[in-house]
Amino acid sequence: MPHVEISITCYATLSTCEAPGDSGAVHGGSVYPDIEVVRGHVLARNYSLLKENQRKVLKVWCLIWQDFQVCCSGMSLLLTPTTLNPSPQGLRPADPKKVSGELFTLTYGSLVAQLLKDYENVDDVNRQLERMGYNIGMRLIEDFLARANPGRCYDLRDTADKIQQAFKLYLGVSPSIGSWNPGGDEFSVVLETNPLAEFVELPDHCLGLRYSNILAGIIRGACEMVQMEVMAWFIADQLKGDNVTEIRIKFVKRLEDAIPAGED
Amino acid sequence: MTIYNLYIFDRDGQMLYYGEWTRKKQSGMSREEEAKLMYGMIFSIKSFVTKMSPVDLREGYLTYCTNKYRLHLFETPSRIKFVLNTDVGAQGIKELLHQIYTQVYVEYVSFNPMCPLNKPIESELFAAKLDEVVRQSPAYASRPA
Amino acid sequence: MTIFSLYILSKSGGLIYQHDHNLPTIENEKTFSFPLELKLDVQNRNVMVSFGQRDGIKVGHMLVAINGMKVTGQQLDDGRDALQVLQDEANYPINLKFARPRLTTNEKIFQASMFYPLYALACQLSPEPRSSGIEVLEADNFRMNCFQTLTGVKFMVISDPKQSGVDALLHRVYELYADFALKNPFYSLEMPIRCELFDEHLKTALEQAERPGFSNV
Repeated sequence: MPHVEISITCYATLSTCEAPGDSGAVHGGSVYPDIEVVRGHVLARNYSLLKENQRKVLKVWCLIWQDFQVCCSGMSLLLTPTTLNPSPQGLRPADPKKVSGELFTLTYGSLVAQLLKDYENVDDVNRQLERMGYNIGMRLIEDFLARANPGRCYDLRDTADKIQQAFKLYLGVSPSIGSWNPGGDEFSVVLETNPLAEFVELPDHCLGLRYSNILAGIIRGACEMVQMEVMAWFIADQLKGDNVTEIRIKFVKRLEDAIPAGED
Repeated sequence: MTIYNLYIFDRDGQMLYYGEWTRKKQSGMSREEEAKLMYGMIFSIKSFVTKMSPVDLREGYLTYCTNKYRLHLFETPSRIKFVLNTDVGAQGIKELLHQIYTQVYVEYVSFNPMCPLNKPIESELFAAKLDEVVRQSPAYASRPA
Repeated sequence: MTIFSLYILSKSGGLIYQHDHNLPTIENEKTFSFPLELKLDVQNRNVMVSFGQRDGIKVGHMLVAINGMKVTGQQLDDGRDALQVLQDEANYPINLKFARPRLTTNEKIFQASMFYPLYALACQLSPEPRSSGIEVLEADNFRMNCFQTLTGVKFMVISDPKQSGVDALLHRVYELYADFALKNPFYSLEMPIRCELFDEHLKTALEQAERPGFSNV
């Protein structure tokens, strides 16, 4: 089965992170941790990312799983069942609805790796990740609206604030918003750390891979559900040696309400 | 106090769900036709309200009442529409509809990967949870049949 | 307390009287630099804000003036096309005035005729037997009360949601209608009401209703 190695890593991580790791505190907040150092501590680390929102991540995860099944049908998937159980949380009381952020990161990694094996072409993988993100965004937006109760956006600056808020809510990171173009219809979301890419080193043969492309898809899908057509794409990625990870978002147009058939 | 019935429409005007509690009168047409008529009506009312409003309108919630019932329309920014009919004096329905959205729709439809977004909702869990929320709300009190 | 406007619909659904009593004017002026940060598009031959709102200028507002010169439809008073002027960087910085559009007379007639089927539908879709049509329609920042007489004439008052005593006002307007329209031998039924006495008395009635404590009368 294709996922045996990865799931073993996963279980190993989970079983050892019972040990409270002070080392995690040192590296968890650093801007761009040396990947080797992180690796050294990974098994002892009590991962704090996403601790507030792991329940939602779990749900998002189910959605990815659905897509995963659609695009790789016939494959047995080993990771998701583990997320249904409370993951060890070190000294924190276990909340059955929360899942370790590390597990999330690892699962995403295995998903991307598997897609690469299946498609053998980074462009197809980029497209596929974007499409999955789009499907997640279309559902995730409802949760955002329900929980943050933000009201409708009439200005792209509002939208940027909401996206920033959503990153905080779902990924536990606070990106900065900036690089507005003069027309005010294009801006950047800049991530100092990218939780999805925490343990990743891109192999030489897939430098064209936009590893976190799922985020671009999520943003596009979510905006479309609130009547805004946007384009979202990565213009800088720490995995490719850039200082930050930067997603560019461009407003395309407002979508109009559907008129009922035969009515006006 | 009573709650008669609930319609949920998606952003294309398709009816996703219909729930009924103490409805006294049927419209005498099929559920599909009734849904189309209902959507047509709320669509027109929205357009009417937008045009007639003397000041800038915040969107999301409006209500009308006749001498027998009150209709509440709650629309999310993602254009899902919840239409609930209650008695004329019902209070706190905006909050109830928000609760139905956040605690029932989002939890049991948005996050249910097996539940397609643009098809009528068939989830039994959704129906059971919705029924529970409605029956527990203060606006619901069953009247003698 | 504010009463915005009053509509009277005849039995067959036509608008026979309309009066804007206390309609607020919402206008905003701002100087912009190039490129324009608002998204504009043309709806019903007017230039409207479709996305991007700031400093009181809201989505749905209409462009009414450029550098103090009036814009009618898409055209400036000197004949230039407004959108073309806005596209040209040489015209910046530019002062634009936006306003919340008001209904034209034709639109009022159209909207009034829209209400008629809504009234009937509300009755047809009722979950209770023997329901009337819409009596009160409430959005978050205005309320419309509708009173239908036994003869089928509808009186509609659009007011602030906190305005009290609207029911009493509607009855008062009905009396005025009976006194100064129907009793006037030169008024023909179903036709627009053009009677000065009616206008005068109506105005007094609306002003009275806006005073606090009217509902106790």
